[in-house]
Amino acid sequence: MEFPIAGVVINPIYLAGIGFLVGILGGFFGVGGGFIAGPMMFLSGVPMNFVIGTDLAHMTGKSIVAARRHRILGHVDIKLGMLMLIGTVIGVEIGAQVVEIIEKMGKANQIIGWAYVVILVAIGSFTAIESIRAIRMIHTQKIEAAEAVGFTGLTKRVQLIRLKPMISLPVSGIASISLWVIIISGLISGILAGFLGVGGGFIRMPLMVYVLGVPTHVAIGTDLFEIIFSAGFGTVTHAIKGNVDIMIALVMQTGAAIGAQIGAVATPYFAGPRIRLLFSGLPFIGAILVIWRLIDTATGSIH
Amino acid sequence: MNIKTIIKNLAIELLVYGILITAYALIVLRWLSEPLETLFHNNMIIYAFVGLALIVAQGALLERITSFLIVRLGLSRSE
Repeated sequence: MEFPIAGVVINPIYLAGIGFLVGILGGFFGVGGGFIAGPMMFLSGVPMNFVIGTDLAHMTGKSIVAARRHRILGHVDIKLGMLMLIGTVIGVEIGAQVVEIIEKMGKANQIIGWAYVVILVAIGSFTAIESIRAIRMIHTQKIEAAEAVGFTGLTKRVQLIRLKPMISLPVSGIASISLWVIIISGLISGILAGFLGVGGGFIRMPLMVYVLGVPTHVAIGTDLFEIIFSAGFGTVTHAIKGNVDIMIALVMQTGAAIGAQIGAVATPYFAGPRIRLLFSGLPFIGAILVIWRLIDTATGSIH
Repeated sequence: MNIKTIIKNLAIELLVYGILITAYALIVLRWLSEPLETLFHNNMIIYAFVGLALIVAQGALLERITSFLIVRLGLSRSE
């Protein structure tokens, strides 16, 4: 099938297949899946400038499907999502400004690339260690699987901050938390997302679980809810710059919709710590893909 | 529901969905290509908002279809 906007000919089944794969990941883990979809689109011949924008467009549609399913399952905290979104939007802009400063200094790709690797490895390692610890706690201390979190120190300290206004998040089971903590959490994930040029789902999900104390299933659903708006906003800004082939996104979305449903439907079959343990593998895959690209660029520049 | 039934229902769902989507791609998406390309070259701002509207509309439509299939085939635990 010809996609004249991006100027490529790609088998639509391949695109729907990419969508299906990242749809499952998105529905199950609450991530956009850009770190996997991006390289796969690039490999199929989509020009690099179209990869990011088009991926954001398909992410918007996929997140609608997955977030709706999670909402039916009771896994979306709309209040939390909307409040975090305030911080995320501001943070993305700050992150983008930081990128511009680094670009002026030169070697932006290398600096951002290696920062990305460090962040991904840190998130992956922390989540893996914590989830293994939580799974052990379930067996040794007979704790409810839904409540088991390996490291609760940070959550407890954060919930002790009494900076007004204090709000409650009944869907997430949080009786009282400072509004500023939520906005700052969104801001941090936004800065990192804007700085790294990604959706930020893999940052936000652990942040909600370990910092705010949100249950894993609710963190996944709420993250997807937030992605609808952040990716939707990104789609418009990239499309205005001519970086979105909406036809590619629409075809990818046909596969992503069913994948997202399957991923979301599968979550109740897994306890929180098991989901987090499986999730911990994703940042490592992302890190490997980034290292590969960095080495490829470096050797390419030498040649 | 045992794992065998789940996998069987999933396979049926993918088959039904695959047929529906192929028909949809052939009828709707094929005809959208040309007007979208024209819009992309003529007015990028309108193209951006039309693109977002299409993605959201298709997302809502596919959500209905997939939800219907999932419920009909008994793959959802909570409905």
